[in-house]
Amino acid sequence: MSGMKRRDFFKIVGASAAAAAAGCGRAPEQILPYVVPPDNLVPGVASWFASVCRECPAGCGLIARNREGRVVKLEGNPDHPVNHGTLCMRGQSALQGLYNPDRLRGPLQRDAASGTLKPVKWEDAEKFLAEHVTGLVKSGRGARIAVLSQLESGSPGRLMDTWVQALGARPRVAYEPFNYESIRVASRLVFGRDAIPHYALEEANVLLSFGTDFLETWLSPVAYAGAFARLHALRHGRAGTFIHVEPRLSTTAASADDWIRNAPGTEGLLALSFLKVILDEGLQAPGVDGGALRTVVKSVEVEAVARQSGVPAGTILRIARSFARAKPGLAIGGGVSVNGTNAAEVQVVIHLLNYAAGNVGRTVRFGPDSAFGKASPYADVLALVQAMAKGEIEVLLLVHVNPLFALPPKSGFADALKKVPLVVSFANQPDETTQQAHLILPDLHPLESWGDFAPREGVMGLMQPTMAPVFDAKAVGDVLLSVGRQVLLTPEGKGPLRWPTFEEYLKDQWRAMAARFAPGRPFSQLWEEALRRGGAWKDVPTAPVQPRPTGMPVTAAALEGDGQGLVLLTYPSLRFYDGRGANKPWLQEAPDTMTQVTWDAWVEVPAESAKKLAIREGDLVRISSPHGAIELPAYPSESLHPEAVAIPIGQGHTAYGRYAKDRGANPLLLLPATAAPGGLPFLSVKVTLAKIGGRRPLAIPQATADQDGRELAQHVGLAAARELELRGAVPEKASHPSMYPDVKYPDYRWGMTIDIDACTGCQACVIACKTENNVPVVGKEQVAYGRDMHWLRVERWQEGKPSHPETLFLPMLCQHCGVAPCEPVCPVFASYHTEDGLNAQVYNRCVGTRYCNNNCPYHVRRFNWWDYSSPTSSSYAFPDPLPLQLNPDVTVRQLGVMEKCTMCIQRIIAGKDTAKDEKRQVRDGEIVTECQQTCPTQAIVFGNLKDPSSGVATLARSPRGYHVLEELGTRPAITYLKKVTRDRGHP
Amino acid sequence: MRTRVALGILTLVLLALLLLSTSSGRGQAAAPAQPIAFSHQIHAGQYKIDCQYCHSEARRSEYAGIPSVSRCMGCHKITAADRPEIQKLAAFFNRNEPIPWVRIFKVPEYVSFPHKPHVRAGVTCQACHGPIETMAVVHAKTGQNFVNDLLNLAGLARTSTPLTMGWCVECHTKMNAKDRTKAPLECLTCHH
Repeated sequence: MSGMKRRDFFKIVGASAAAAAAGCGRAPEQILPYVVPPDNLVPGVASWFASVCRECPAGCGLIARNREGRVVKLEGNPDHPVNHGTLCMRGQSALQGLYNPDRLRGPLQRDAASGTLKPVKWEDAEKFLAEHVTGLVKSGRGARIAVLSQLESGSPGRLMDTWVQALGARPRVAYEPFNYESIRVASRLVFGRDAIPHYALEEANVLLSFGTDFLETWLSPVAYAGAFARLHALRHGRAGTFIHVEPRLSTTAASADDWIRNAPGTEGLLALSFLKVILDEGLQAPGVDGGALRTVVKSVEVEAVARQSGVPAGTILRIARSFARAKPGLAIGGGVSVNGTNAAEVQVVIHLLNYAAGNVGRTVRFGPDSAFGKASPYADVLALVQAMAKGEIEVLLLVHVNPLFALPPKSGFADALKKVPLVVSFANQPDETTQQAHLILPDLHPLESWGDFAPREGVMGLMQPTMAPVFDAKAVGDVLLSVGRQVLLTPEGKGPLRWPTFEEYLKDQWRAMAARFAPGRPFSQLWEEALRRGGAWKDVPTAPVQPRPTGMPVTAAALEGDGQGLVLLTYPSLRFYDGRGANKPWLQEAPDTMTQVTWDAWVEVPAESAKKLAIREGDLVRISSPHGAIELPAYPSESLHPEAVAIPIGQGHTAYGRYAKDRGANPLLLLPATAAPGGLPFLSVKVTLAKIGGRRPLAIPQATADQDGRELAQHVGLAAARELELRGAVPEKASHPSMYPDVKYPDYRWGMTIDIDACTGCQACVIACKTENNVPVVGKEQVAYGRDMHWLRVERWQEGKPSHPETLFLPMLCQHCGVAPCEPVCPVFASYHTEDGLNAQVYNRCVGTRYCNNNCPYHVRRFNWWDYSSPTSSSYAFPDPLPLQLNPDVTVRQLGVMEKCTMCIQRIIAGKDTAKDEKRQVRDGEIVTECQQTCPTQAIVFGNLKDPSSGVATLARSPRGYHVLEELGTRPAITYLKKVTRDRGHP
Repeated sequence: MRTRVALGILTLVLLALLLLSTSSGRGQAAAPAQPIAFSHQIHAGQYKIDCQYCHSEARRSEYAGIPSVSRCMGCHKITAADRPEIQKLAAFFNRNEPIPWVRIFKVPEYVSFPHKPHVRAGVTCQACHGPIETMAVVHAKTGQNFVNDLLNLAGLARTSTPLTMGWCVECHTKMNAKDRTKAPLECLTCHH
């Protein structure tokens, strides 16, 4: 045996075995060429198309990466003035709406006899609808046709309105479950302007927020998260302060420097007391009419407010002073806790606070008003429901709305809908409302559509199809034009609905806009530029407004229900918004930031009540209000105000596809449906809790928030951080001794910095990573086993008093250690160190011993316990057409293989390839990892650590820099920058 | 004694495997029937048409690219339009149907092989695809091959281009030793 080396022996045995296996043969594979290739398309090279994200009305710009005709990735549009190239988790997940396996395959019509939905041809469906509409229009009953759509601030909305007008139908209702109506009402009362202003967070020195979840869903969360990072970052010794008033420690509250836990419903009183302090101490801005304001605060007593809200009078004084002295500061209000029966009053006081502090026109800007100001008031929705109930509506068109889920059942929408003889839904996915529809005409997904959306005045995002339709769907606009013409008996090119297609209509609209956006330039130029850049925008000057301080009485929110009960906080979910995200498995599997719960719904119960009722985590609890009752597993919380319980909105679907099925209950069941002056009062009931026996354990990947002294997430006080900044970098600590010789990196040493001071825990990176790297979704049971596959997770750690913790978010991913514990233990050399300093994982070498996983102190390696990649497997993670989303540049891993963060090796290779073609080194910032790309606060920076002038190397030298578990001597390539904490006024 | 036993077992295993294996290796049948009897020998050999005239993506993309039907028709609208095989081509074009070519060269799914850097580094097509200009019907013996491995062990040239990893790495190593090229030898370059 001496003549043969061990390796050669294995080679031959392997070769022969492979040859033997080949006897079975493989089916020949076909390669299909294009018949006529599209222009400028090179198979294997991505094309990018700019469009607008329509997952919520924030209207962020996005660019879609198209490979061989299918969109595989969404990124923020760097040119777009709203989101500046970043995207949130819901935006990243839009792809799973596009490729959702439950999407409607084509138009359906309810069979009158059997009551079931049957496929129908588009022509027949349109003809059917046209006949119905014609009957009504001809007999002068056009007003019995109603359109209920989502908020459309651009051409799709205008076309619907034109259609409504042409046929004499009832005015369209633009329904958004969260429409921030109270701000609009308050603007009207205080400034005589019916609008929701733009808030310049980035320019404020002190941000005072009343329950506003601006890092989660409020108005434009990506834009405000970016602005918040600029406000809050320590730069040149200066850093803004964020004070947040809310009864619950929400994700946004967790980022606050000072979180004030108030009694639910007392925000208005607190705001009023701040105003009183400012006026009493003469802190108002020069030129402010103190006399008029004084009448507003006449009857306010700070001590009384302190008693009612549970916020000490000293704190009220301190906050009021720091807010008034900020110059400029900014007060904002939103979220469930200020959306009570008194919502409009609270917003009035907030406007007055801003006025008194001199912020109006500086950080509060009317002019670039938000699109939300165009959503219909909630009362209009109720009026439509009443008309339906009275039998006044005979044809109801539902365009991308799901009122059977998103409206409180108490509104009576379900019964009213039964009175409508013809319900037409344009949804592209079956939901609770389509189940009741008579005709379903699936609209194209926004990523397949032409369209536009104006997130605020002066910004018009343009949507273009980023790929061909996946299924047999048709644009709403096209259907409306065709049906409208059939009704009016007008040919194409004539009449009020003359456009042959919606695309032509859109172009016409833009032609009219060209004068506004690009005066003196030909239209074709503007159009081409808009297609390339994703829209057109220009600066809108701040409109001067004159306040009229109103003497509106401010009360605490009125609460109905058992006086001894707990106040119900039903808040929009960071992951599902109003519930429309629940059909996307990525969002289901992403942990909720604060509770870390995946896949399920829960009720957050204050620790005091949990103790009293002997409720443990996962115990089923019945929550009863005067309007209904639901059952949910409990999540006891130390930080929730003892008088509140909290339930996120979004789960509890009954017919929204396989991923949303059997996931808890819809808390809107507990709410009344009456309209308060500020819209639907989300904070208006007290509920009682009862343990009902039985358990439904929650799948929580990170069960503890206690670091146990390991100092994984570190922080430094603001004063100390300032001093460190002044003194410059601390001398490098003596590195830990290693048994191995120092690794030499010939060209690059890839590394990353993560600023945990900027991280808001929004989870966008988690989803972006899943999208880019073909990471499978494993389901609730496997997550509960600790077998989730997230390559990147956001750890949430808490310190200090449990009721009032300091929260630290720590994005944790492979640290790409210089001395990596995973590498030497791999028996097959699947885990090894590359010459660029990456910890490589070679899937086809891996035999699944999991030694690397056991030896990794960061717990970032993920093992394929099940076969997620094979279509015949029961755990297959990509049912059709989800495989269309898979990134062709990344291997889909198989059963028994270890995987982990690669620092987006496919992007690194592409970047190096480009550099090689141009005969140069990779430039700093040229390669961007997926998590870095999407991060709304730009907390992540990637680059070459060997180049001392690179962005990442500069940041890695920051005096705030540290390595997680430095003492292990793993020498990670990821440097974290400590969170900068402010001294709190209370323990 | 132990060495002898081991050697005996090895011989037995090898013999058994040799019996089981076929000389054609793991690849597809050497020359599968294609929907149209396209000859590389005529196009690339006889008329010396540049490979990248048809496979034009090779220098720009991961894929070499199969020419579109319209590109074939660019010449064959006139050239040899009366031949039966060309009429088959025209029929595909007229029906607006892609030609279902049978794939010959394929690396496993966990391998990312980009054509672009190889073409740009001046590697000839033949280096991996064999003397394609002489083939009337393209055929290849890819995959692990016992005969090839024996030949290689003995230090002799292989009979075909197997597209196996060892073979790739060998070429990269040789190139790096010979020129100043920097052909990567990092696992992650192809396996990611």
